[in-house]
Order: sequence, then structure tokens, then C-alpha cells
Amino acid sequence: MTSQTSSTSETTTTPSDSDEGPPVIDFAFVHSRLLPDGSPDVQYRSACGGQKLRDIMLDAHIDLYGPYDGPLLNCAGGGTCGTCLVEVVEGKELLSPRTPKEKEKLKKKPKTWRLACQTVVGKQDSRGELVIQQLPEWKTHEWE
Amino acid sequence: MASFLSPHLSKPKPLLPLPLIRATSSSFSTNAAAVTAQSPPVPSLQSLEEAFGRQGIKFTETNGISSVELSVRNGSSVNLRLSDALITSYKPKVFWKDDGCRELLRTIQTSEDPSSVKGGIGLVLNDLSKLAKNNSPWSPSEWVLKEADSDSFDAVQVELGCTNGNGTLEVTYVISLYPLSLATAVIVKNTGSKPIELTSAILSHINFDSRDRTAIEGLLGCSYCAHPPPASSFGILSPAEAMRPDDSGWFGSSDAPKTGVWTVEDEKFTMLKGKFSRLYAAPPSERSKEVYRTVPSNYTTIDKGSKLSFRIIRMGYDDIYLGTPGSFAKQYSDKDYFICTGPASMLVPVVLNPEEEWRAAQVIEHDNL
Repeated sequence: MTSQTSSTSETTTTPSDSDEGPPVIDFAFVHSRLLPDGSPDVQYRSACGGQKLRDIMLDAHIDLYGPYDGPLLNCAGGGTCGTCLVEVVEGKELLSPRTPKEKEKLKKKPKTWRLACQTVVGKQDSRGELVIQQLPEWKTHEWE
Repeated sequence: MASFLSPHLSKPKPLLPLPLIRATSSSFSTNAAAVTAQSPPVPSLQSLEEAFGRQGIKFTETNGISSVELSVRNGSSVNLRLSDALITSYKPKVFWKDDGCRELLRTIQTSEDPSSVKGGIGLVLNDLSKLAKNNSPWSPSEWVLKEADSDSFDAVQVELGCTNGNGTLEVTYVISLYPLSLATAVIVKNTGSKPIELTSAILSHINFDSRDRTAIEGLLGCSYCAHPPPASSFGILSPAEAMRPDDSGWFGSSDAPKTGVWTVEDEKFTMLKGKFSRLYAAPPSERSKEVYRTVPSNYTTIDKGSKLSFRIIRMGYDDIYLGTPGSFAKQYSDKDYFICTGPASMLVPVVLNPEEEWRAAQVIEHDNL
């Protein structure tokens, strides 16, 4: 798939690959709106594993909530409002499985959608790549 | 760095604003063969009108400089000078009542010569690999109108071309006007046999009602350093003037800019009252990493005076330049304020190998209606 890294997205701890430096997970966050010429609007970030996806996205200043970003418009991580939806395009092996709260809220949604406040990304020493689609309800393009 | 996205998105990266009325013309194939050292003859107004005149495209001449006025059905219009590819006026329709169009750009007359104008939106492109006699890099200066097209209602596009004297570089500048946006794109093709290094920027001088209640939103979390703007023929503030600290009154020079020091923007709204000249970019030391934090792809200017906001989208460029004049703006106008901003690739030059093409664009759009 890619010629840059030797690790694939399935691995969580890879002592065999020659990456230097502390283990981080690389993220590609894709916005719901494409750029005016039709190419995707991607932001790249790196973060340590073991955190909730919501925390990673908010620390990295990625738009998670969209129109629900105000003070009382979301439950701020409680798992009750269902507004922190994201779609996992690649790298779902790194994520913790769906919690019962998620299963309740995402019953009618596609299988790739997750609640960012309930999803834990890997462990402290994980490496990998994750492609996340922000605001999947408003996206104007489709993933293969 | 985008390699781990590619298996999922089958669309290639055209990097020119959509809807494209017509793809870049194939007239380059004939041009490349016939390149001479002479500059092309300046076409007359009549011949331009005959060849390219269309609904929404009108040619005018003032003080010996031909310019073209593009307009779309909703009233938005753009005025472009053909000789130096400077956009001197952009009046989008932003209000529903009356005429509703408001000039977005600031231009100033610098000297007695009425044809010397600074400001507006212009392209800065420097070929670093070849230095002219006075040790300055080559930049495009004589533009020729290549194509013009319009769909008579909601889209107008004009293409200007320029080549460097010895046929190694071809630059195309495409300006497209839509009802709610203006797109300026540059395509550079290396037609020589050696790699070329380029730095480029598209700088816009945007007008604001007053100095006080203006800000930029969208740069939170991005790192920046103090950096002068690229030298250009149309910049209102020269690089030296832009870096000089503002020492009037309250907004004093307590934080004189120190080049090379990187700070992270920690405010949601970047206030534009003070004087600064910043380049928002990923530090070059970060770029050697495989995945580094990217600069935001768009940012919004907010003007509380006129209650208008404009989104500036960066495509193909790596950095964002933002410069404010502070109290220097008083020299040019008592009430209004302006800033100079736009996408740029200045810190790390773009390397273009033979037969390669580099495309980049800036789109200014708004949702004020």
C-alpha cells in the first residue's frame, strides 16, 4: 500500500520495524467538506496511543463536534449524546471494540462509525496509522 | 505523506478549482517549440475583444494598461490587469439589498504614474535556481492572455501564461470567478532539463472597516514564526517595513519579532490590531518526520465592523503568510485597515524536476449571503 513505512496498520507493537523515536500513532483526519477542486481536506497528526479518540482530536484542534461544538450541545465525553460521531476508514484494528453505550447509540448507523468519546486508540506503546473521517453525517464523498 | 490515504480515494488530484470550464489549453505544445528571447507583442484592445470577449468578460484600457473585467450574473466582479497579472478589484455580492457588492481588496496608488498600483491579489513566484544579472531570482513579469471562457451565468475563467526567456519554465495563472468565490491557481511546468527550485505565494490585501474589531479564525494550534513577506512588485508594505516593530502608543514594540523562534498559536481568534508579519507553517525541522502536523487548510477573516467574513482556502501550498500593518495603515487611509495574507511556500522551496508540473491555488469564498 505505502512505500514509506514498513509497518502495516494491523500491528500494535512492532519491535522489528526500524522506526526511531517514541512510539506514536499517525492520524489522517479527513474533513466532511472536500476542497474546491475535489481533493480531500486532510489534516495529519501524531499522538501517543492509550488515549480516547475524543481527547486526541480535541487536543489536536480537529473539528469533532461540528455544529454541536458549544457548551451545552454535547455531553463532553459522557457517551450519552451521540454527537461525537466519526467514521473509521482504516486502522480499526487499533481501536477498542464498540462499548454497549456505543452499540445502543449506533444501532442504525453503518458499522464503521464510532463514538469518539468511547473509543480508545491502541495502547501506550502502539504504532500504526489511522484514517478517520470527521462528521460522517455531513460528508460529501464516499470511501471505497 | 499522503500515501496512506491513496488506496481509498480513487480520484486523482486535479488541484484546479471546480467546476473547470475547460482544462488547461494545449497551446503550450506550440509555444514550447517557438519560444524566442523576444517578448510577445502587446495585443490591442480590439484584438483582445475579438478573440476573447464573451458574456461576462470585458476588456478595458486605462493609462496604457489593458485590463479585463470579469463578472457573473449575481453581480460579483473582478478586475485583472493583464500586463502584470494583478487583480486590482474583487467585488463579491455580500448583501442582499441594493447593489450589494463591496470591494474586498485594498489598492493604493504609489506615485505620480497612475499605472503603478500596489495591493490587490498578486502572484509571487521565484525561480531560485537561476539568478538574473543583479543576483535576484527570476520571477514572471510579462503575462500574455491565453484563454478566456465563461458559461454566461455563474462561472468565468481567464488563463494567463508566462515563460522564462530560455524556455525552461512555463507558468500559467488561472483566475476563476464564481458567484460566491474567487479562485486563483498557478501551474508551473519545468520544460527544461535541470531541476528547478521555486518559492511562491499568492498574497491578497484584504480591506477591513476598522483596525479594532478584526480577527482571523482557524489558526489555533498552528506554529508560526516571524518572517518577512516575499519581495514583490505589488506588496503595499515592503519586507523591511513589514518586519519593523510598531512603536506607537499602547501596541508598542515590547515583543519585537525575532526570526527563527517558533511559537504555537494558542488563541482561537488571532487579533489583527497589532503589527506583525508571521508565517504559519510546520517548522522545517518537523518536516523531516514522516508524519508532521499540517497547517490548517483554510482560515476565516472576521470583520465586526462590516459583519462580513471571508474564508481563504489554501491548496498545494505549504504555509500561510499573515501580515498586518498596525499603525502603518494610517499612512494610507484614516479609517480603513488592511492586511496582507495568503498561502505560500516560502520556507522550504519546491523542487520541480524536468517534465514535472506543480499546481497550487488560493480560493477566497464567503457565506455572507
